[in-house]
Amino acid sequence: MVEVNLFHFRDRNTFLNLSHPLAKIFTLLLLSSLLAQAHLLRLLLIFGLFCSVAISLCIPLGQYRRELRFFLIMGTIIGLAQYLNTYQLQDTLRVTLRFATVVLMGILFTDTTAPDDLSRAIGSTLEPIPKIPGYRIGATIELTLATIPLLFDVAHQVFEARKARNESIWRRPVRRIVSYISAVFTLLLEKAEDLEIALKARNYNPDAKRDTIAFSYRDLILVSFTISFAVFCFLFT
Amino acid sequence: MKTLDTQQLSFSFANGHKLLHEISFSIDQGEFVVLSGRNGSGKTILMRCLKGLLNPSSGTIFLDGQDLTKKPQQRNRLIGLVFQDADTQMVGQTVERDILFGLENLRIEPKERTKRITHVTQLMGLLSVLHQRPRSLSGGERRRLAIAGVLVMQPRILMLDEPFANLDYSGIVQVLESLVELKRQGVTILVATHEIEKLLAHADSMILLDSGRIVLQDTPERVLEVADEFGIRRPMYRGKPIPIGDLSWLK
Repeated sequence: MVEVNLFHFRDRNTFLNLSHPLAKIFTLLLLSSLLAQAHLLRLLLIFGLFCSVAISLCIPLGQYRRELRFFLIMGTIIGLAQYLNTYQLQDTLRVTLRFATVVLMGILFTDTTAPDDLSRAIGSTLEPIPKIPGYRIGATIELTLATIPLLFDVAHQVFEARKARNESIWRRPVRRIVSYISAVFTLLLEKAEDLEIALKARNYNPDAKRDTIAFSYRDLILVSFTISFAVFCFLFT
Repeated sequence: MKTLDTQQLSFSFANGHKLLHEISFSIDQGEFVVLSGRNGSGKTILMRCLKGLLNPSSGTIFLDGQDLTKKPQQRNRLIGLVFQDADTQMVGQTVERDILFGLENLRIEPKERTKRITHVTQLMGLLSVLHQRPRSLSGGERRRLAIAGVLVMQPRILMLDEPFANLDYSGIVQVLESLVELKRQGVTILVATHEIEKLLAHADSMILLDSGRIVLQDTPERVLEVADEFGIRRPMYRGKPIPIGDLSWLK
């Protein structure tokens, strides 16, 4: 079984873990909007804020080393492209920092938000809106999220099976990739069919009301702090 | 009192290929029944027909004296099935959420949900892992979680399809202990397995299935007399059959 570390929820009792997902989404959206066309100082402030949150949450970046390499390469490419385009070091730093902030925001959000809490919160928020099947949308998101580990499992399983039969990576690479993808999808469809039967066996009802966490004083603190911070950034940077 | 009673149950695919032939058997309230037969004998298909996941082509299914042949949704609600691949059945992000899934689908009241979850987690020994992710559990714990997820919906019958498949010794013992405890609590259980040596000591009766037909339904002693002919090997020790009472992996 493959365990994905990065962008992975850790069940703990931190302030952010206990906050409502919608309050966290609000925070992310507000701070993201500040990132657009931001000066270096503002970027540094926002990045610094997220870094201190990450430190206080003891985000195990060491464990995420492997997956972070991908973002490191991406960041380098983005920075390099910007530098070659403008020949300005400050611009390059700004773009790279913005990318790093977005990745850090994603890590913090997923680290503190259970996927089913998120989907359930979205579902219960949308439900009162007429003609929108909120719970059904929430349940769909929840199931989609539940199948992500399945996809990783299947991809890993097929890869290992081929490796065990000494498949050469370099021989006919295009054909190999096509056949790998089709094998993954075939297996995935089989698993999806099994999941469908299993859901039916558990009396799956997409329109059933799902439990969701309630708003609390923490959300008020989080939202108030975010707004104050945003106003400060907007006025002074 | 008969909890489940099937008469002349048959199942065919759309192309006419018949997999179950006039299956008739019954299970009493609180009975522990082992359904055995070689691979491809129709155990899984029979369970899925009973559960309402497949529509039988002919025959009748009575549950507590009520004819539910034409009511697959009601059968689905009243008969619980634990799949061979327990992982497929898991959808919750945590053990608690996974157990809750079925209760939410049945729109059970929150108070009642809490009561049922507490009871079933205690019964299945899952209290200490309630907030863990299902995928982080051991094989035995995952199988017990799958049972808990079904049991919490309070089915009239609990069916398990190859509950010991892919489990190590401790996993098998964990599942077996849970089954024995459920039997003690009066739950009606039907277990499909060809690994009879693990649980036959606890079974009240045994059904032998071969090529979609019931060969015999009787006490385990009687069924074992003919089981060899149908691909089920009677467990032996030094050339002598092991007594039924010793056929358990529990000490």
